Amino acid sequence: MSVEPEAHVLGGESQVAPGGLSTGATPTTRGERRALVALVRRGAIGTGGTRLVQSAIAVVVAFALGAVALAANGISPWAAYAALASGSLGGAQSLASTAVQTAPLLVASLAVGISFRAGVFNIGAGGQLGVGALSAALVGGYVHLGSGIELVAMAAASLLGGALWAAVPGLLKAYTGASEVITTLMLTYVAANLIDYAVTGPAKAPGAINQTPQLSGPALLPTLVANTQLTAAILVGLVLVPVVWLLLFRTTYGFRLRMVGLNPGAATAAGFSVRRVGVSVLALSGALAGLAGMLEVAGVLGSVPQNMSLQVGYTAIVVALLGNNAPAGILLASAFLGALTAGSTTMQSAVGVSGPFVVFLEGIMIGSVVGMPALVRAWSRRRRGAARKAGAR
Amino acid sequence: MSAEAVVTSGIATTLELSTPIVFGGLGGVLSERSGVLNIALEGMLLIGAFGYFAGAAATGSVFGGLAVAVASATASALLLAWLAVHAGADQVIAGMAVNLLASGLTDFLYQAIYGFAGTPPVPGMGAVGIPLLDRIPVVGASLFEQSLLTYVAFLAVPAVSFWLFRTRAGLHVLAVGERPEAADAAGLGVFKIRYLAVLASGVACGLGGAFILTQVNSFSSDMTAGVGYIALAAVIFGNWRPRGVLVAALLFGAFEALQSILQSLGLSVPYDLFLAVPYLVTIVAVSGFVGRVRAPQADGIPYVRN
Amino acid sequence: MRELQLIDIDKRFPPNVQACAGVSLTIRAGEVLALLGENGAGKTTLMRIASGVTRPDRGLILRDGEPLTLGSPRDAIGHGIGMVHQHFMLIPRLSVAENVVLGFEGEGRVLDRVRLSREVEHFSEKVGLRVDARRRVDELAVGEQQRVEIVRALYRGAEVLILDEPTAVLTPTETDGLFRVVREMAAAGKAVVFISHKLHEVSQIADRVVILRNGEVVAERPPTTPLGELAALMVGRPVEVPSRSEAVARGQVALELSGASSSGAPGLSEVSMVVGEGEIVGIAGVDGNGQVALEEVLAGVRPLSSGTLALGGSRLERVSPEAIRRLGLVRIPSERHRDGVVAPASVWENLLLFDLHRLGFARHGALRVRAARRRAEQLVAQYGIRCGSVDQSVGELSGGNQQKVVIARELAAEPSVVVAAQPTRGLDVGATAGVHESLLDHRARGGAVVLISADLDEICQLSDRVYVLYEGRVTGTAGPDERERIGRLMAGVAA
Repeated sequence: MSVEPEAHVLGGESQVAPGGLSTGATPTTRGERRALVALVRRGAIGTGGTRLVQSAIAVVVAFALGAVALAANGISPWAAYAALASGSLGGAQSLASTAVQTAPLLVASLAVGISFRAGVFNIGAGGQLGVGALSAALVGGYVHLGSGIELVAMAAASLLGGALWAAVPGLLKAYTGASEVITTLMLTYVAANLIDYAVTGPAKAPGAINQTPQLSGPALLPTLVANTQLTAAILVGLVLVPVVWLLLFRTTYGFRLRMVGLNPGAATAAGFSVRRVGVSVLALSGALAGLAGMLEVAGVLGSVPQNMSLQVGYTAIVVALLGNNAPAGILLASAFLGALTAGSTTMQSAVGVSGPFVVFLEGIMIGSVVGMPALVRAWSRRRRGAARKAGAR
Repeated sequence: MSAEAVVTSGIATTLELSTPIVFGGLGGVLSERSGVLNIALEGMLLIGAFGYFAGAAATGSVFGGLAVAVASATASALLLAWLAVHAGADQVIAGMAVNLLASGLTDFLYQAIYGFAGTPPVPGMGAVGIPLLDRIPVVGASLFEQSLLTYVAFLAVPAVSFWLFRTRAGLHVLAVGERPEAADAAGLGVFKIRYLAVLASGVACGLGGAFILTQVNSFSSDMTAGVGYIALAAVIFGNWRPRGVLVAALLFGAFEALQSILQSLGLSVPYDLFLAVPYLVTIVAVSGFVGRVRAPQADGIPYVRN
Repeated sequence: MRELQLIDIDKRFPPNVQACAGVSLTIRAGEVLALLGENGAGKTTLMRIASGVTRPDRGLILRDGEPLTLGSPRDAIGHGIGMVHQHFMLIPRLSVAENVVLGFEGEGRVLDRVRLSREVEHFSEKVGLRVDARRRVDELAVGEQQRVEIVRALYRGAEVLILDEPTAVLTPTETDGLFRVVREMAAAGKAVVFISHKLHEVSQIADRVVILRNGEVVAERPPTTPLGELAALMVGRPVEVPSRSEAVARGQVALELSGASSSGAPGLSEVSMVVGEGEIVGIAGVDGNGQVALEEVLAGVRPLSSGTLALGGSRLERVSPEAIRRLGLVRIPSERHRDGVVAPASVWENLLLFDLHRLGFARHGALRVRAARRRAEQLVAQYGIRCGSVDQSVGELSGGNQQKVVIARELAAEPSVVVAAQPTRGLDVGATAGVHESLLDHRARGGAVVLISADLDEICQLSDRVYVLYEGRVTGTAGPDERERIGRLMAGVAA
């Protein structure tokens, strides 16, 4: 039945709920937890509890392989990980720095998680973040409104910029069937080029450096703890966690969004418009990613530089996967990856390797999360096979 | 600059810029024609670049560099193949995993291995002139004074095209990428074919990465700078055909070359906006505003045998 | 080859579908063997096993007395067994010739397409099934594609040709052509297995009819057997006690369809029916005779190309799922997993899926979760849904309990008309009884029920009146006790 959206350019992959991206509800009752344990035993996967275990295993696998890579290069894994820990958790400065790294990542990951919940593959959060950052920097740099209002205006600009940037793939998907995987990815690079154009040309600050005008005073997020970089950005992130949870689980919009993500067919039969949900969720996701950009520019960077790193967009995918697209899980996972990033600076001075090593770990984590079901299946098959053989004897 | 010099340098720059896109794009075509969506081109190119650097630094020879480049990029392709074909993972996520891994690992290894010692010199690949042809006025010096890898890339286009559309093995790849269950019913090994196709894309990216490195003869973090995504764009814009990839790569390369020429002529051009064109063109292409492109039917869908 | 024997074949699909239970069958050269049975009777699974696509859990396959090991379709082809699947195994973007030779291209790494095309065309002429080898498959009509499938099987040397529901996609003329080809192949000494649930076709083409039901061979009959008897064998169940209460006084007209036609394969053509309050109207018919079209037309999902639909006496001007639901018609969909439930979501969310706003669980965009869960708990108790809690995901429930979730949700909307499409398919006896009870309750409360079912026993047991669908038309009406007459109508024979 049902009016199916036009055939997708990429063989319909965006219609199928992404295999690796279970969006099952988080387990709440004992009965369900028991059922989950049974599922794990059977090698099936996909629900919250199992995913928590999987995420934990993925982290362990990453650290183990990371240790091998370190040791192979003559670096003591112990020293490296100790530095990583002390740089992220040891003392107020370290904790502050973890929080600084966490804030934009958390918000961007919530953005990605929302889209995944709806079965929409926004892998271009980086681009939306960049556009949001640029919008906020332009408002903060050129429109002076006085304290308080200034930040609100910047946030509004970033939300709007990110939303519009992401609405384009949403509309293209709804009306032409273009896969959002490709369009959001491509728009990330367009955003990067747009930023470089702006900061070298029309929005270039006076002076030698290619960047937007340095933000000051009312355009900067207030510092929470003196003598640290810790700003109110983390508060915004922390407030958004329950807000997103409420949106997903306590509003009719969230209900529609999740049902469409889980079974577009039944959702259509129930009268929900898959198209409308798809467009709106991309806009929403883009808005949040844009806000993450504002937090970065008004909380950390102070201006949009040339070659601004949009890597957060990809890290956010790792976070959403590790956190099973659940706000609480995303909070945990983003704090964890934020800590790794923060600690990597200390690791740099201790053992001479830094940020890239963390990205390497992220790669292993994401690979482990999506590869694990197959390993579990293979393992349980082998065990069953062995049991059968033993029984035959 | 004389008009002749402008044309010569324009063509030469276009070919240089197109070469890694052609390699990556051919890799993308091979893998996606077999049904494995490949957004890991960027990461595999990067690993190829680092592989060349490490190999050439260790052996002191170009061929050592090429060998390590191809071997390491193919190893990363093996990971993608395992995730996408064997584990049945979502192919977008699998590709992201490879990209992150590549970005992190190459940079980490570079820091760990060369961070203290400083960058070693690596043997590069100079331009190789083709006797007689390189003497043709205006175009000779630009077309036939290129890196060996550029010739390889451009000759690979008809070769891959022939292989894909004119041979038995190619027919099998197409069948698997269109309808794996039908190919399976005809007795073709779907998993094996997909594995091999993804590995072949690793080989292509190894060569492409090596080319990127030999352009500058030193490694820097994330030095592929999005070429892999442009290659992906070329695959789509080129409608999943080797010749289409060639056209797209030349077009994208020419565009970039054009803006650098305009810049060198002192004309002010929005350089960065020029760079965005390939991505925008690709968005237009997938949206079907001008002549719809069509992906292989099973592209991106894991095959599960019942 | 003289004969192919399948002996004691068992096949079970987890968790609890027994597709084949100890089936034995002999296929002989030179004959057309029809496998007759309902959807889910195990015909297709059995033949997929014979053609190497599916592996049996147990059983033997003998070719002229020699055991075969069929690990893949290619093995089967090697032993001369080829199958034309209901969903063709063709690659749309390749040419006919490429499809025919795929995997059997012969020597040489480079393909000589001109030579291959010529070869395929020669071959196709030789077997009397001309195909244009150079055209792309996606340019062909469905009938031509089927021809390509048959040519391919023969090209690969099939001695046993299995055709799965081959006429489902064909026009009557194409069907005649296919039958001619089938007869010629049998005459040429090949064995043809013809899977079908269309009685008149089977009696027209087969030399022998084997009837399967619930994974077992229930009978073998000559093609001259009366169609009513075949229909009864195909859909009948062992004795069951009808439990329908006395007729409730029939009230006003609840639903009226007049001259309704729609798209579909087959679609409806000129269907008129009236359903009154307080009655269950059964729609009998062999699967694939327009039931899906009827279901979707009534639910407002499939538009009418002509004719009208009236609910509660008023004609619908604009038919939409929402409008129909608002007027009190609900549906228990035949495709439960696609249209009925969101399997990974919880029981309470599934119970909330429709009528979010009408039931007052939305307040200024907020979802009243506590109220919704409370109502879900009531429904779970009321309908005896067995689940750990309302938070358990529906996908973890048994099929019967999933169906109960659907029924609870739909009946809780207090509808006037319930369209129940194949409501007990795949359910065990206990769950079936529960579903029947719910429908009878609704009738007892003065509601109307349209029961679309391929299970003749179910129809006769529950219905007050029966319409019979055949090829998208209502071929007649009958009382629930006129089994024979219904059987004849189902077979498309004038009653």
